[in-house]
Amino acid sequence: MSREPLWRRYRDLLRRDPIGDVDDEVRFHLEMREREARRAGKTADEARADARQRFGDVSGIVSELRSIDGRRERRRARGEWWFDVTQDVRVAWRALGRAPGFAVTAIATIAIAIAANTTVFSFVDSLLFERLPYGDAGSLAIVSGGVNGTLGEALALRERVRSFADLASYRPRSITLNDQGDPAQLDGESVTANLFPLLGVAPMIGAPFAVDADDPGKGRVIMLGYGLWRRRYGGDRGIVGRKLIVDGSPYFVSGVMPPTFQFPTARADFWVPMTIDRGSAVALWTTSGGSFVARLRRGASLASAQRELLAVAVGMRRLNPVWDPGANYGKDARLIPFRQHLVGKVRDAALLLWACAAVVLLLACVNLANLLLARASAREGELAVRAALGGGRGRLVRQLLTESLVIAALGGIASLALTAAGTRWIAASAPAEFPRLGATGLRTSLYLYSSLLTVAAALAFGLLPAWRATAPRGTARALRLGRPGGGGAAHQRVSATLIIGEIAIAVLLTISGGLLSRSFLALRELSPGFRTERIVVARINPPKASYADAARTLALYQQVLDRLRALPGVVNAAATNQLPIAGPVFGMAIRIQGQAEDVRHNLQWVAHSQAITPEYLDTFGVPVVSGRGFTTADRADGQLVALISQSVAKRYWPAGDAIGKRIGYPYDSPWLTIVGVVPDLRLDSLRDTSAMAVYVPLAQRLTADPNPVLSIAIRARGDIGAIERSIRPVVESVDTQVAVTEVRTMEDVVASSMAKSRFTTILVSAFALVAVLLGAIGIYGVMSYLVSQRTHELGVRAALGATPWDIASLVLRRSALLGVAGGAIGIAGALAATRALHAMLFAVSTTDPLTFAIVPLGFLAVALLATVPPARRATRSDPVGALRRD
Amino acid sequence: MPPTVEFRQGAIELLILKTLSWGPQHGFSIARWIQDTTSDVLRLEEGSLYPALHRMEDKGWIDAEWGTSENNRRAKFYSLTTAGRKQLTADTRDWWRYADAVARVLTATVKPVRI
Repeated sequence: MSREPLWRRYRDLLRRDPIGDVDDEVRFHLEMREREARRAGKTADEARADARQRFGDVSGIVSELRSIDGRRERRRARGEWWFDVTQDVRVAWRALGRAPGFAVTAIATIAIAIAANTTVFSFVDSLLFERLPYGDAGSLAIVSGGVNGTLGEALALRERVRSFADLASYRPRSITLNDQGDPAQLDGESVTANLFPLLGVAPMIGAPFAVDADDPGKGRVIMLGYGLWRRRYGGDRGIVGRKLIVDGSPYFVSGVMPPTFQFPTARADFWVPMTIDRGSAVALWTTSGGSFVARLRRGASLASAQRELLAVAVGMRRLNPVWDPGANYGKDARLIPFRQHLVGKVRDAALLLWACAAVVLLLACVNLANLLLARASAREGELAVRAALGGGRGRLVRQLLTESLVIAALGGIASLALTAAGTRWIAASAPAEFPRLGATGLRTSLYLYSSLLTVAAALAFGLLPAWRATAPRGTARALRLGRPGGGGAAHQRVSATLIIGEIAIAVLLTISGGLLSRSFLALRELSPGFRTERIVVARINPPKASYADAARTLALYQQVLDRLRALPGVVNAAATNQLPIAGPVFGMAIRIQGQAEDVRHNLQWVAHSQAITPEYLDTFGVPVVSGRGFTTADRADGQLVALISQSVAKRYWPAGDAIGKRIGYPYDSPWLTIVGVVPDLRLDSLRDTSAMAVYVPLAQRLTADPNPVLSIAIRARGDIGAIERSIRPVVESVDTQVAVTEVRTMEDVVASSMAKSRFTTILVSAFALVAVLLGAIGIYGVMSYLVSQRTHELGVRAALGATPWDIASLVLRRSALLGVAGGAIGIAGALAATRALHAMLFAVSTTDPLTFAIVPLGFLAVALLATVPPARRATRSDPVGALRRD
Repeated sequence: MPPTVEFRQGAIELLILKTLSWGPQHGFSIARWIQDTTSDVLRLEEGSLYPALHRMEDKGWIDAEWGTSENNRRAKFYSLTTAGRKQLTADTRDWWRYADAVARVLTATVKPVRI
C-alpha cells in the first residue's frame, strides 16, 4: 500500500467514499506499526512483515469492513431519500395551503374524475372480470341460433360434436311450492340431469341429480338454491330428502347448492330435472329443451368447436323425424362463450360508460395541467430562486411532481367516499338486466384501481407543467424582474392546445349524451299501440296437480276475472298467456290455407302469438280494425278462430280479404278461421317493430296447454292502488292454493322495460355535464391566466385610447376562437365515435343534425360565458399603473 | 514474555468501550493501549479490532470522525457516545458478576454432593 495521496484529505468536501475510507484506516494502522518496528531497529521488510502478521488477514478484514460500511451507506441514502420525500410533501402541502382556491378546485376535480372511473369500474369489474361460479368457466359456451332448441337437437349435438365434452339444456320453470300451507311461486330452471357435473359445481349439502334423473317417471327431485334454502327453510341442514309439494306433486330435496352458485342468473331459486323420453323420437324433437350449454373438451378451441358445431347443426336437418326445418336450418348456429352470453346485453353499455369515465378523467387531467401551467408561471420567481440556489432541474421537477401527487392523493382519498355512494346508487338503480351486481361496494380491486388512477393522473397532469416550469431559460430574467414574468408565447400555445383538446372531448361526450337523451325521449314518447295507463297486472300460477284440466283452469280464470270486474272502479279485466312489454312475446310458425299448407316445407314465421280472453282487447284499449274480436261464444268446442295483426293481413292477403281465411298451428291440426284484424302492436318492448302477430282465444288454447302461467290485467277507473291490493284476496277467495306474484302497474312494466336505456342515458348525460363543467372551468382558468399575463399590454392599450369594449372583445374573440377550433375537432371526433352508439340509439340517427348543431353552439355559449369574468377584469386594466411600471 | 491468553470474542467490545472512556482514539492507539495495559497477555489480532469498531458504530455506541493524528496523519478517531457510556457501565457490571461466579467455583472447597 502506497502513501496516501494528499488530495484525498479534502475528498470529504466533495463526497463520501466509504471504500477509500476503509483503505485509509487500515493503511494508517499498518504504517504506524511499521514505524514502531523500524524504531525498534528492524529492517523495512521485517517491519512490514511484522505489522502484517500482527494485523492478521488484511484483505479479509478490509472486505469485511467494506461490506459493513456499504450497508451503512445504503441505509443512510434511503434515509435521506425519505427525508427528501417528506420534505417535498411538506413543501407541497404549504404551497397548496397558500393557494386554497386552487387546491380545492384541483382536488375536487380529480376526486370527481377518479370517483367516476372507480364507480364505473366497480361494475365493469364484476361484469367482465369476476370469476364465474363454475369450474373452468372459460370452456363453457352457449349454443345460440340456428337450431330450434328441442331435446332431440340437444341429444344429437351432445353425441355428434366431438369438441363438446358434454352438453346440457335448461329452460325457465315457474313452480308453486306448497309445503307449509303457504304457497309460494318460485322461478327456477328445468335442467338435464348432467347440468351440475357439466358446470363443475357440487351441491353444498346433499347429492347432485342421479344420472337417470331426467328419465320419464324418475324426476321427482329438486335442488334448492342457497338463497331459497336460507329464506324459506332457515338454513336447516336436515332438509335433504324431505318431501316438498311442487305444483301439487311430491318432490324430494336432492340437495342445496353453495351460496356463490347461480345459474343461469341469480334469479333461479331451484333446479329440477326435465323429463326426457328417449324412447320417442317424435317427443324428443317436439319438446323444447330451452337453451344449450356446452363444456368444451380439453384442448378444443372455441373456433374449432364452432366450425364443428356448424357442420353438425346443418347436417341435423335430416335427423328431424317430424318436419323439415328448411334449407337455412343450422346455418346460424353459433357458440358463444358463457360469460359473453351473460353480459352480452349490457356489455356495450358498460364499455360505453367506462369510455365516458376515462374521457372525464382525461378532461380533469387536461384541466389540472392547464391550472398548473398557469400557476407555475405565477411562481416563476420562486422557482427561479430555487434553481439559482442550486436545486437541479431534476430536483425541481421532483418537487413539482410531488405537489401533483399530493393533489392527486387527496383527490383519490376524497373519491373513495364518492365511489362508495356511487356504487350504492348503481346497485340500487341498475336495471335487472345487469347481471351479477352482487359484488359491488368498496373492495380490494377498487382500492388498487383507484390508487393506480391516482398515480397515473398525477403523472399525466403534472409532468408537462413541471417540465415546462423548470425550463432553464427565463430564469435570469425572472430573477431580475422579481415578479411573474410573461409566460411567453410558447406557454400560451401549450395552454391553447390543451384547451382545444378539452373542448373537443367535452363536445364529443356531450354529443353522445345528447344522442342518447334524444333516443330515450323518443322511446318514452312511443306508444306500444295499446293503453298502459291505469292498468294493473299480476301473474297467476295455478298448481299443476289441481289444474291439469282445461275446463277447470278456464273456470278458475273466469271466476277470478268476474270477481275482479265486480270490484268498484274496475272497467274491465282480462287474462293472457304472455304479457306484452314485460319480456319477449314468443311467436310461432303457422300454416296458411291455400298458401303454405305443407308442414314439412313452407311454414310461415309470425313474430308473436298470444292467447287472450275476450275482454283483453277492451282492457288494453285495442280497437278491432275489421271483423270482430273474441267473444265468450268462442269456446273450446266451438269454431276455432284467430285474430291477426294488420301486417299479417297485408302480407298474406294484400287484397284485404283476410277475414274468413284459415290458418293453422305448425302441425296437423284443425284450421283456425280468421275473424278479425287488429292494429300492429309493439309487444316485446317499445323498440319492437316486428308487427306480425296472431291471437287466439285462451279458451281454445287451453286444450293444448291446460296449465299455463297466465297474467291478468285489470283496467281501473279510480284508485289503482286499491285494485293492486285487492287482487290477492280475490284470487284467494277462489282458491287459496293459487299463488299471485308480480303485482304491478302496466306503467311500471313499461318503465322497467326502459330501465337500461334510462340508466345509460342518465349516466352518460351526467358524464357529459361533468365534461361541460370541466370545460368551462378550463376555459375560465386559461382566459384568466391570459388576462393576468397581458394586464400590462391591456393597460397600455387602454392608455392609448382603447374602449372597454375593445379590450373585452379582444379576450372574447380569443375564447371564441378556441371554442370554434375545439368544437370542430369535437364534431369530427363525434362523427367517428358515435358510430359505436348505433346499437343503443332508437329513432335517432348517429349523425342527428339537431344534436350535432345544438351541442357545439351551446358549448360555444358556455365558453363565452366562462370568459365573461376574465374579460370584465381585463376592462378594468389600469392604464396608469401599466405605464408607471415601464 | 509471559504466556499469552487467546482473546475472548465478545470481550473485545467491552475493552474498546473502556479504552474510549479515556477520550477519543484511533484504531491503532486502541490496539496499543489494550496491549500495553495487559502487558501483551491478551494476544489480540489487531485486525479484528476494526470490524468490532465499525459494528459498534452501527449500533450507535461510538462515533467516528476523521481527524489528524499525533504525527500529522489523517486518521479516523472513535469516541464514546452516551449510549456507549451506558453500555460500558452495564457490560462492566456483567463482566464482574461473570468473573466472580467463575472465581467462586474455582476456589470452592466443598466437594459436590452425590445424589
